[in-house]
Amino acid sequence: MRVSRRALLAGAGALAGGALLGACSEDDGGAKAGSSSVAPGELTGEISVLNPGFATDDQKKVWDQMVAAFNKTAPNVKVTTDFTDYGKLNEKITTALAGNLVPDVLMTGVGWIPPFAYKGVYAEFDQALIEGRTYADRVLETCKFEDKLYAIPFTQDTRSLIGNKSLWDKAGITTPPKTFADFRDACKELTSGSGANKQWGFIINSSGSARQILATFLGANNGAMFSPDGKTPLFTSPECTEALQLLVDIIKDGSSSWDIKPAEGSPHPFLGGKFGISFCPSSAWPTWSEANAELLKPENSILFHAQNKRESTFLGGTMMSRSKTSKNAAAADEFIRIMTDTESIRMACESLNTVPPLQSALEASETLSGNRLIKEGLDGLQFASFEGGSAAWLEIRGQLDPILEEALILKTEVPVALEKAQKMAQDAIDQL
Amino acid sequence: MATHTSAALATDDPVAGAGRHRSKVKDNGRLHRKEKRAGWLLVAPASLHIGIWVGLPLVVALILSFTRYDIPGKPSFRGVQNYVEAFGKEAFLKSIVNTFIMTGVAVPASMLIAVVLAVLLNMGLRGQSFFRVAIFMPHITATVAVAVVWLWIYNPDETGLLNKIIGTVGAGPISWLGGYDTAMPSVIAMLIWQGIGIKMLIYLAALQGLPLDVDEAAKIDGANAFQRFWHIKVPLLRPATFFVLVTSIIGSFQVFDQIFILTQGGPANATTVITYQIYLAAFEASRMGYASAMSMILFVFLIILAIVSRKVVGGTDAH
Repeated sequence: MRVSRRALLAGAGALAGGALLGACSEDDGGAKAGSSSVAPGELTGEISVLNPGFATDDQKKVWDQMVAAFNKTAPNVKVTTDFTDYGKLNEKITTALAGNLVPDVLMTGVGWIPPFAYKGVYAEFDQALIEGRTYADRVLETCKFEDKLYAIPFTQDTRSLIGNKSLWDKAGITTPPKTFADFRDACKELTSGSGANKQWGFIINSSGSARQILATFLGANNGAMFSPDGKTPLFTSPECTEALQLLVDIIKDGSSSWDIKPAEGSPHPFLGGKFGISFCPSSAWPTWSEANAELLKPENSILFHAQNKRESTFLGGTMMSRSKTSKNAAAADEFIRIMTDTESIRMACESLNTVPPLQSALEASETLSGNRLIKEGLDGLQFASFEGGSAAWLEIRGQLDPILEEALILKTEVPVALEKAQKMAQDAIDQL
Repeated sequence: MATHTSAALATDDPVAGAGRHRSKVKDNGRLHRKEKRAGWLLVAPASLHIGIWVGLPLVVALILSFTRYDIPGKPSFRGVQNYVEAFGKEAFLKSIVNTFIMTGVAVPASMLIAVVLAVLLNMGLRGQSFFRVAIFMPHITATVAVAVVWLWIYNPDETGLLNKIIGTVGAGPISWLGGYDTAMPSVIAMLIWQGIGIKMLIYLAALQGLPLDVDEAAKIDGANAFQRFWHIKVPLLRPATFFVLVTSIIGSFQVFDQIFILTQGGPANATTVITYQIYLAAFEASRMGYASAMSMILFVFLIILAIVSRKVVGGTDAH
């Protein structure tokens, strides 16, 4: 049989089209999560969980213990966990969505909820699922989209600022700066020397990405990245311009450099004693205290928050959502309910060195309450600032960092960079 | 065919000769068809493999590049808008420039070093087996492992190997991967190092297949080592050079792991490449249509570069 090239192409095209249509069919039967009336003991079947935390073997063991605790309540539900990391999480979710194989329970981070809720990937939760629990308003805000609850807080990561007390004493600084102007002055006063012996006022690029650092100072300026409905970017707002300008000015003053950042496998630069101020992630306790336990003592370091119009600490974290297409929604909801209760959170936070979203978990754990960074993190949840807030965030965030970095390496003026960010974000939102 | 005609002419009886000729042609025709069938059968597995795993995805990517396909949505026709959007984005244009710079520097440099090393390791030096293995090792080592080692070499503090070296003369420390001006050269240096092994191996194999008599004749005629290398070996290595050039360009245009691990395209897109932009569009933004359009642009670049390479180097014909 002779097959013409045109026929072959037409056939391939039809096949491709068929494959596309097949891949795009979706089950839209997701009921409001957490509204099941089935008793946990009667739940059966299997649920799959996509988990970006619990990287080490010890952490996986803790996760298995948590799952075993869930199975005491729901013995007939088999839980399969797919461990991954945040670097590969979106890739996993994208391929799962393309293949119509979305896990029943998805654990994602702050900023991910609006995009996936908007796309109809996540099911809306019934408020009854978190009845009796007290979360900080800012924490619950990260779990919502259009005022509806799409995720339950699991563990939180916060980023306070930390000051080296002996350097502060030498510079005559007695209290943490309360305004941007004070902060800039403090950075100048903490800077001295040159070359290899230079003492830097502030290590800006000390934790997280440029957009997360901006989010912290933007929060301190009472600003946000997006309007409350998430449809208008606010990068050219006076609050955002002032926040980024502060960081750029500190670099221009010579009190910091974007080039200086933690090195792979080396102790954090702040621990070397040559930096007056640094960001300090709440999860840093084990590594930092191993490298320089002395510096972490309250008499040698000061934990404080960025401040101008209000106090601000950066908030990240992991939350649990249920897939809208879950075939075993009741079991998935029960799983989420139990995995986000005080006892599960205590176990998770002890293992991951993260901040519990519930005060009760801190009170139940000597390990957590004895950890200065975690205690500070929990106290700071009330004035936490976070990134995202738009349904287009996942497209925006990858493009935002390089634009902000242009300003931070002094290649572009702040207003120009923020104009660029504004246009890029608005284009992405308009594509929705 | 020429043999068939000669056989017919050799006979005294033209009719009988013609009959025998017809029968032989028939037999040969049948044989020819059989050979053809066997040929098709032999290439069928590879053709099927390429058709399903390369051809079909290519066609699908081409179709998707004209659609808006934001996972988990359905694809809808968007015309050439994805292409317009790509060429209107500063980050994508920067990634094209970076990819060309990376390829333009890393490919010729690694080829030059590889051919020199191949000639040296083909001279029967002592311990040459060890050096061959040592030079080839980076190629067979997982990119992630290689990148982690280079992360340590480029560590921005005093613990990094490079900073330790320049520290001995009182310089540094330098944030090699964090600095806008140093990030790209640092990545290129790693790519050159990683790419030498396989190129050296191909050149070594090609050198060992060169006819010795030409070289010996030139030696007798008084040509020195450099003259023999430049005027005899280099032209004779042309097929290998073409192969190395094309595969290296393709490899360089597809660099992703190294960028992903070392710099994530930063700082300020200083090291972003086309594949990284495709990754961001596909797996960060879930925009498969737009990512497909960028993939097709990459594909077109590779086709053009392969044709240009063939014209410049002269293809696989050594003569």
